[in-house]
Amino acid sequence: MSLVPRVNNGQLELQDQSLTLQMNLHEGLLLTATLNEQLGVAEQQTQKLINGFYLNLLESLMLLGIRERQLLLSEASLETLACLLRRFKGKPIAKKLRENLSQRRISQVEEEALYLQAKLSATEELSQVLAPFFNHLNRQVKEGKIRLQDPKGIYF
Amino acid sequence: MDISVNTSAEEFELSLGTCRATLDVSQAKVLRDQLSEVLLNTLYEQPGYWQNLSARLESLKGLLTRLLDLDNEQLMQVMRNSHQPHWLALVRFTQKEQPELAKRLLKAIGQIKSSVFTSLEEFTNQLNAEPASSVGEVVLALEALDPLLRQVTQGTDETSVKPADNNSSFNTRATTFLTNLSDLPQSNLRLILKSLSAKELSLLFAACRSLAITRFFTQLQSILPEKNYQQLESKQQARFEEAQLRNLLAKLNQELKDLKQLLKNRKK
Repeated sequence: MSLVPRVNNGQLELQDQSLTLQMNLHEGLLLTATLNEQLGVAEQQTQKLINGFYLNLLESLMLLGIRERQLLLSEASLETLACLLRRFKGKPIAKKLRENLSQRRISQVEEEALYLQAKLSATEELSQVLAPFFNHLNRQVKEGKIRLQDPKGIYF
Repeated sequence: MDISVNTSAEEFELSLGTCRATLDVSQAKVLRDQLSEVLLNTLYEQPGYWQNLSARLESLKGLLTRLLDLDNEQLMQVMRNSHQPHWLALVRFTQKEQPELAKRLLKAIGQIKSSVFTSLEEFTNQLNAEPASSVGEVVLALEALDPLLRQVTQGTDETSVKPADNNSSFNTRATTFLTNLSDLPQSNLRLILKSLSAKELSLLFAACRSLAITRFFTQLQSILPEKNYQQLESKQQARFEEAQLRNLLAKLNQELKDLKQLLKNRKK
């Protein structure tokens, strides 16, 4: 048996010869991380994949209108923000993310344990900390409230 | 969806919600590799997409020089005739390429006095707050400008609305007039509508609805921003006096004559 993944309309599809299973992209990311765990792949490689996925996502969020972007980030939990800011510490995207948060929120995030160090495994962080934010974002996309654009595109 | 993977005797049992799949090691590795690839590229457009648009944009840059050559009144006329949702991409691109022209475009937008169009203040807010404009939007905006620029610089007379027959009943004459008005090129109809107050526009809306001039609504939907159209639709008056409509039609007729004269003068 083999499963072939493809993205259709923002959803991930896993196809075998007769069936297609749909899941959201984040669930696909969790599946990949879980497979890595079972295949004995170094955790660092999974973290690199998660960072690559989230870097694209965050860069795409930076192309949204300022109000949509700030509203979306204000709805993210402190844990989610702590996790993202830790992952991209010192990188330009962390600076952009901070520019969209209030000073008070940044101070709160910086006190979070998840900001200070990685305490969870990649799969735990994905399912417990990042998934709620992604699911919220995904709902907004499905409802047509926001549109995620290609982060590598040309914009004015 | 609950996701778990159990390993036993060189087999991977994937549990995905209510579905189960069993893979051997090599199949699991292939799936992992393909998933990583797909997930990292999910937000990207097809290869060549941005290059094609950039090439099209490059070929349209000459339009900015043509815009620069217009006097202020011509520039305002082009902006008036243009599709308002294109302004954002146009001004943002111009700010980068020709900052001086961008200032003139903003000034022209500020001088368009009409309830139909966004004010300069609202537009400036949009510039700062709306999502980034992609190169595709800029290409669309520039391509739409080309005929408008030609119209302003060469002057085209497309305002011929047939005069209404005085002997027919008022409703028949009003229907004929409004049908002809609705068949005007969109840019000309836009100019005419801009001269109307919000109340007059609402009356015209109600009259066209009552006389079943469907073409008018198709045109109006393209001319007005969606929000304004919906507002107009929700607030439309149910009744109107014939005298009110007579006055409005007389005004519209005069506006048409003025426009015709204006375009004739430009031709000279």
